[in-house]
Amino acid sequence: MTINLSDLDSHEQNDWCPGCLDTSILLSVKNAIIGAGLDQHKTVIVSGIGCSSKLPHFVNVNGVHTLHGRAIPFAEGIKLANPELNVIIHSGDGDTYGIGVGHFISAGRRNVNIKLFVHDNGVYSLTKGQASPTLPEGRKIKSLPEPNINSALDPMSLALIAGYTFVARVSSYNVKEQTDLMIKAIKHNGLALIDVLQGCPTYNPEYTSGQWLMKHTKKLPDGYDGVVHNASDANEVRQKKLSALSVIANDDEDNLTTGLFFQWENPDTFEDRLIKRGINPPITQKIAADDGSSTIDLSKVIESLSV
Amino acid sequence: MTDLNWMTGGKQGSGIDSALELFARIMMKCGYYVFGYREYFSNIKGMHSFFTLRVSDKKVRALSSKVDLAVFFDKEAVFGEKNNFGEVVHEGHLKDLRPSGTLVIDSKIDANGIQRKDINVIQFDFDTVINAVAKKFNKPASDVMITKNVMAVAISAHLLGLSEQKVTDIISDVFSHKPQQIIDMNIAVANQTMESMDALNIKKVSSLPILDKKELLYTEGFAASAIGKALAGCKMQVYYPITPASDESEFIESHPELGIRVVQPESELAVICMTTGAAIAGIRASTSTSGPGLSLMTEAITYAGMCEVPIVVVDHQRGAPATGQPTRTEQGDLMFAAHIGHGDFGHMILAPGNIEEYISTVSMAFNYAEKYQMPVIVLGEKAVAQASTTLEASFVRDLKSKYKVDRGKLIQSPGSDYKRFRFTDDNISPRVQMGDPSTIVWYTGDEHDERGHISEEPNIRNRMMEKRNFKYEKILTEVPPDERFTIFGDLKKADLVAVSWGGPSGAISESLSDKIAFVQIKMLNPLPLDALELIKKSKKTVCIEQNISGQLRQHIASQTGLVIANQILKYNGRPMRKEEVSDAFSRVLKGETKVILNDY
Repeated sequence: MTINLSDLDSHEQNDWCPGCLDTSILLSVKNAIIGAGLDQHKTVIVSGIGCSSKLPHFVNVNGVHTLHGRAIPFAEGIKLANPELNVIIHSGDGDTYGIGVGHFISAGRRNVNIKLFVHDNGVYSLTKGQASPTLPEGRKIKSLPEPNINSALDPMSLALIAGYTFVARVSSYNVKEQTDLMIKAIKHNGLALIDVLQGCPTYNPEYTSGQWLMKHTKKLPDGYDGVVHNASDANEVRQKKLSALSVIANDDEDNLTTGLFFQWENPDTFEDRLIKRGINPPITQKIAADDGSSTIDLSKVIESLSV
Repeated sequence: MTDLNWMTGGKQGSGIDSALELFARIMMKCGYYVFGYREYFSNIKGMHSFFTLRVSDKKVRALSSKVDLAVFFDKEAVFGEKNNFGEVVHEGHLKDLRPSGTLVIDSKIDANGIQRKDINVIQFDFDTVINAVAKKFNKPASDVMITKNVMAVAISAHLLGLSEQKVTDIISDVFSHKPQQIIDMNIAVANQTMESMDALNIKKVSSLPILDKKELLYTEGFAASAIGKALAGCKMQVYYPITPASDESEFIESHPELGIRVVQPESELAVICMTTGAAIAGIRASTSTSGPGLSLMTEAITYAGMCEVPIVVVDHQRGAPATGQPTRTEQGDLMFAAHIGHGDFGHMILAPGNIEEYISTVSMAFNYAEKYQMPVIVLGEKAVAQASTTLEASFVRDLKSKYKVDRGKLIQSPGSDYKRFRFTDDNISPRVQMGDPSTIVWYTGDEHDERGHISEEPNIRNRMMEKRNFKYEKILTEVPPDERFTIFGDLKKADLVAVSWGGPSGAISESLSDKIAFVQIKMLNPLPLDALELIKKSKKTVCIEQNISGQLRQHIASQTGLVIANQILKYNGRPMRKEEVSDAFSRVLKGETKVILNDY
């Protein structure tokens, strides 16, 4: 069954500021859900806390709006319980790279097939503009009493080194490019990060305006190909990661590269590892007979304890 | 009637660690019930650990203060140990022997230091056994040294009148999964030890008859909790390593046939969020932890409360606060669990007191979580989680045949006008698994409307708060009395009514008399008000707990206004032993209002 944009309207009114680029990300993800051919009933958007994390309420797919920093483990739990569900995370940079950074890095160890779309604007907007982990040191935005005293972390290199198998960055001002990358990420079999440079006209208009981003971002160089073509070729994987890291290392706070840095269809997702152990998806396991009696076979457990 | 208390111990990692299980299995194979316990330091090698096993022809549920038979290899186990400042690390076990008890020590230990004339001391030359077996197998003596467990067990079996044949048969059976050479060496050690004992011609401690063989299981509480989860149809167990709870998850992982996905993520924060996510997807999911882990989980537990997600969290309590005493027992988390997290939301707390209840309570916790759509916390404790107990296989089979999975208002295909948080008369809304083809669902930790979207409207706030917090009446009328509390004895006739929860129930139930009755509370939130009404009418009451502040007493007082007058408390990290409990009862009956226990 094909769906269109109006099918994806939840009829909840968004309460983002006028001009907020979260609306562009919202449109892009709706496009991507349609473009990737997802069943809206089998799709879940999980989010953390912040302006961006309100997004699930505005899409007519299942939504789980969780706690600050915790969207990733919630999403992993949902996916491991029912691998049939398409699980997409929308959360902010404070959420993902600040309070939730432990989950962000550790997710790379598991390669659960979930998609992480981060609305990255350098500020904690819903609490009125404090510096987020991606705001460069010394940058003074209007809501800060003093210039930022912390230096920024780089989510792209962190994701690459942590084990993300799809790493991309895009500007929120480009719906077409966002949509295309999101479709690729959704179709990718593994953990994917798209860091979306999001315009926040209220708390960081200086460094997230369309004009600023136009001037300070550039596309990956012509001929750059971050896709690993032979998934089992460890050398190719290494080379593609190094190429991506090399681009990132040449970026700085005023020069940001966008595009698909790295993609590796690693056949070893966490689901694969569990299936190899013989543990089927929980949702597919019948736990009770029609009369409610437990279907579990405890005979091996009893045998193991028997004296 | 047989009621025998045995002890061994020594340096952790020196080969003695598995003696408890081996001796327990031997006794159980001879038809006896056991209750055993390991006391150990949060250390891998070198510190003193000791193992106590009570052996009886009847079911036993507590340790005894006094030991009938003990075997030790090092002098520290006998005389105790001091640190570099001359301060006591542990007192040694001489004092633990019952008058006329038997103490077997390595002949290298100077027995002149033993001041007690009322016990029998046997000096045994372990080196001769070790050297003889080493020579036979052409191995260095150090390879044989690690069979201390077998030596301790063989000596004990000999002194209890078991035949060499019986003992070696059982050892080869217990070790059957090991390589043949290991089996042979252990059998040789057992033979050599028992022959050397024979040659000493020492009067036996007892002559234990071999009892009819029943189908008995050697079980610790953590395994019982795991069985309860498996029975309930839990399909995902998420955990972060913590003493003494990890055993449960490892047990589940070692039984892949149960079909339970065991996931060990980066932190307890991730654990509880994954568990909650899995439950939102619509499966039965759970975690096990101890106090420090539960502390880290609180925010997400409030989320499960806010979003009415059925999760089961087992807290095998240990000494607290902070890191506390990782390997010791305590009931210090009740008030924390009762008030867990910020704000008000419905949640249940259950407290099993023994191995059977660990299975049944944990299995029921999943039914309650789904029926009432709330987090359920099961408060266990190290005293039960790591107690070695005899469980009858028939109990597990009977429970399995009786147990019914009750998923409450979990429905399918409700249609597109479905609302996850629909207001209902009983405050419980129909729930669907995520992915239902007929509807879309939303969850949010923000206050929400019936569809699960954010709402700050005051009337909706009122109704949603009432929905989440007013489920208790239904719980109190629906949960059967025997799952809420157990009454031992006659409350009306008793001079003293003891009130307790969890692990101490074992020692208490063995210390009762015509004068003393006992109410074990198994459902701690909501509290069973009918049981408390009965307690109110008692002549004299005492609350017994394994914590310093009397948390059950506080909880009852704050919920009902009933102040239990007297207290028996223990907070040294060691479980209650039956003699100290019966002694404390006498003291309370004589007028003491607060008795602090301090048995080892």
